[in-house]
Amino acid sequence: MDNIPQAFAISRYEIFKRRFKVFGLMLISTLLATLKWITVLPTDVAWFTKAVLIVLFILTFAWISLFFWSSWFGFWSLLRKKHVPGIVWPSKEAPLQSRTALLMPVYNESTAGVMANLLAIAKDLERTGKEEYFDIFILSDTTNPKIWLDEECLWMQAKKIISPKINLYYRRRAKNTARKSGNIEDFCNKWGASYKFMIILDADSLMSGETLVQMVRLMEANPQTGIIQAPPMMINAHSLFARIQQFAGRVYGPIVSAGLAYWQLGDSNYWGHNAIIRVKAFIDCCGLPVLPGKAPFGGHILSHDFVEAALIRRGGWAAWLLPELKGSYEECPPTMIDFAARDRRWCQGNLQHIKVLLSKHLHHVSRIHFTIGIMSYLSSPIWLCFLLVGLAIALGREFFPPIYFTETRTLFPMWPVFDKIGTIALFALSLFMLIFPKFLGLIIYKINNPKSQGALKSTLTEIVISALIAPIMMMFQSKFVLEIISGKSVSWNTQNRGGDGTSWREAWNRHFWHMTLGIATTIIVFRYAPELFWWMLPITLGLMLSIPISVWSSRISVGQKALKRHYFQIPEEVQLPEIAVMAHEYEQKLECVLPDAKGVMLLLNAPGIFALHSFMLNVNGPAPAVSKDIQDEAQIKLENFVNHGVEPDFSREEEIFLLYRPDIIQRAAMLPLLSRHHAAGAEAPQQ
Amino acid sequence: MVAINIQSADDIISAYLKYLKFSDKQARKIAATIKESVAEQHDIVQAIDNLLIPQARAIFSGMYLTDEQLAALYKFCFLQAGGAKKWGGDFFKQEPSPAFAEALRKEVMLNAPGYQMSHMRQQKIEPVLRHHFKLKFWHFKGSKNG
Repeated sequence: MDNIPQAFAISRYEIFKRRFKVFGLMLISTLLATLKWITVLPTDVAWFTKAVLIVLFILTFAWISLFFWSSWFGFWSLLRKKHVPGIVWPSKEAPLQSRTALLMPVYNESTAGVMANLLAIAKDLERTGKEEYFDIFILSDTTNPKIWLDEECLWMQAKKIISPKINLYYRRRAKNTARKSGNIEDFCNKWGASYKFMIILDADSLMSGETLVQMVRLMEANPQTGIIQAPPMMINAHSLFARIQQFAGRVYGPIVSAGLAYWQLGDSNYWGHNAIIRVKAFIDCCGLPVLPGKAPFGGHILSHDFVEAALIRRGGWAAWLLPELKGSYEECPPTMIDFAARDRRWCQGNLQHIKVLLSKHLHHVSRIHFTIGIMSYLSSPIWLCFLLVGLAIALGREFFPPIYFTETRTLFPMWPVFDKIGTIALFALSLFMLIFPKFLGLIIYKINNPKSQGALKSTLTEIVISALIAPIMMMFQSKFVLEIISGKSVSWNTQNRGGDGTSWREAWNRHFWHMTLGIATTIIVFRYAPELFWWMLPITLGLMLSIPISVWSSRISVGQKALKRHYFQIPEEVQLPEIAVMAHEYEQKLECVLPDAKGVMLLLNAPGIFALHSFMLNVNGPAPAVSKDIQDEAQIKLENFVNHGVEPDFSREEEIFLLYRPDIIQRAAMLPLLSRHHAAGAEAPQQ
Repeated sequence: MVAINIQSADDIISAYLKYLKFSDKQARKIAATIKESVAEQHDIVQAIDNLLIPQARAIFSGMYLTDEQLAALYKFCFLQAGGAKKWGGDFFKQEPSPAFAEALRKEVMLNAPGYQMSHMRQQKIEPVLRHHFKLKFWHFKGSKNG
């Protein structure tokens, strides 16, 4: 199906031309490099090994080549300062006509942080004077009873602060079927029909009021558009690792986004948050099926965003990535280990797309999105295989020396030929294609931020550090891919967004095998294939130093020292965006009003929150089924507390059971208020 | 159920009211007035809650809520409005005064708007090739058997 929506103000020829340029150049450069690669392969290697090396080379080179050419065209788009063609840009004064829901799906997140972000967004919306067109929904999938109560408590506080023109709603699901995608689907089924558009946020998302209003205007001016994605910019990073990611995102991110927008046009992707979606299109096209088979490949779709974009596109709606939209922010995992933990979830989600990739009627660009997502993770084991095969060939020579004179008598000996200069040339070309786009990004960054300090030295340092980190991430991702292929699924954990840093013990546990592998490879290469020593050093060095790199880069103090010397400094660190300042202020305020008592204990002490909690229970859906033993144990613990002061150690199930039983809580809360409570005897009648 | 060891209905009514921030004196006074209507009930706490429903329904007339929700909302708004001190006498009144009703309505916090139901149909994700492969497989099997 190639149903290009009518609203595209761009010809099919122009679309074809752009894609032909990017993919044509990618194919030509991969073809030329592969031809060269075939000539530099050692002549004494078996044909099967040669075939493997050629396939692995094509896959890795095509990957970096696509990145290179996409960035190249992104660079030129940004340099010419042209809008993405094909979408109608409305005037900034155009009146709004539609109601939009801002959705904040949460799952055991830091409550004060989430509410603070929402309040900051609401405050910024107020400044646009268009706040009455927006409602905010907190869609909680929280399973931790203490956080659940915190959410209700801070929701109540936030309602007192927020503009009365903005409705701030809170709904918690008792059963979080299909995780985030199920959460959004539940919203669409219950309230979606009341809104024309919805803007999906993440717990760490911040979006300026102007951007939100502009996104709604764009949707109204482009009635065939289903999704508009605003590329989020990372802010609020403190540890060195997060600051490096933040700097890379700020400097190289724009050309990557512009490059993707250049060839994707109205067939773009959706990244799960900081995007506006037409509710009708979503309801009609995006009911996600449960994939056949067991997890990790079957079951509920984890990385739902790519699939939703593909389905909405299949339904004839356009999806746009618009790098022109600023004021869209997110945060980065603070440490390498947190980053890898997030990668584990994303890896499974993307590999699951193998089942969707060949689905009927998808647009071919949607298939490319899936392939890019899958390759983001498969590229690591492919690179690893490539290294291992190369190493095996070198070691093979050591243990099985070349045979110069075969049994068949010939006039000339069989000299193994190795084109060293050709290999170096290919290596240099690959490095160039990886690194050059970073300098293109730097040029755009310097043009837009002429007063920025330390950008060049930061870029050079980032290249070195990312080269050291790359082999560690390669090992992580290769392990994830292997785990997933062997059927090991991932559980749903909350993403760590704080900056506590990695301890030496944790780093040792996580990176021990990286370090061991690095040391072992270095020794083997040095002893048996010394000609490869310097070639392998950039990889083995990163692995050998993985523990100190992980610990050192997770430190906030190191990140702040670097900031003092203008390393990895971005303009948003010199002057924090106003919306982020507001969010910080709100967070501090909300943390002060957050009660010390948590969960059931909070309800016993705060009748107002208890009444509110009881009132809100109905919207949560029916209480989850709990065994009789858990029910009894929970009540015994509660009774022991109110009657004898024994501090209760409720399990999660026990506490959740009690939170669904306001009748029990109310009686327990009343007990200390009975005038003869302490004198009550065991024989007394029971109520 | 948590056991409430009691000696009298007065005790329970007072505790109920004190939990809603009524003073001891106020609680005893009100307990004396409603004791008759709840004392014989099997579940006194539930019976007191039921007493609140008519005025809660009158105050929040436009809202479609269950009795449990109405009682909870009524208590929440009453607490938020500083009810025990300002409106203590009105708590069980069958016909609430307009000022009291207005004060409570001001405190309403809606956690979700009314439903506008839709249905997201599950989309089909069918592999392009599966059917084709199946046909080939059966064809191959068929010819072998035949």
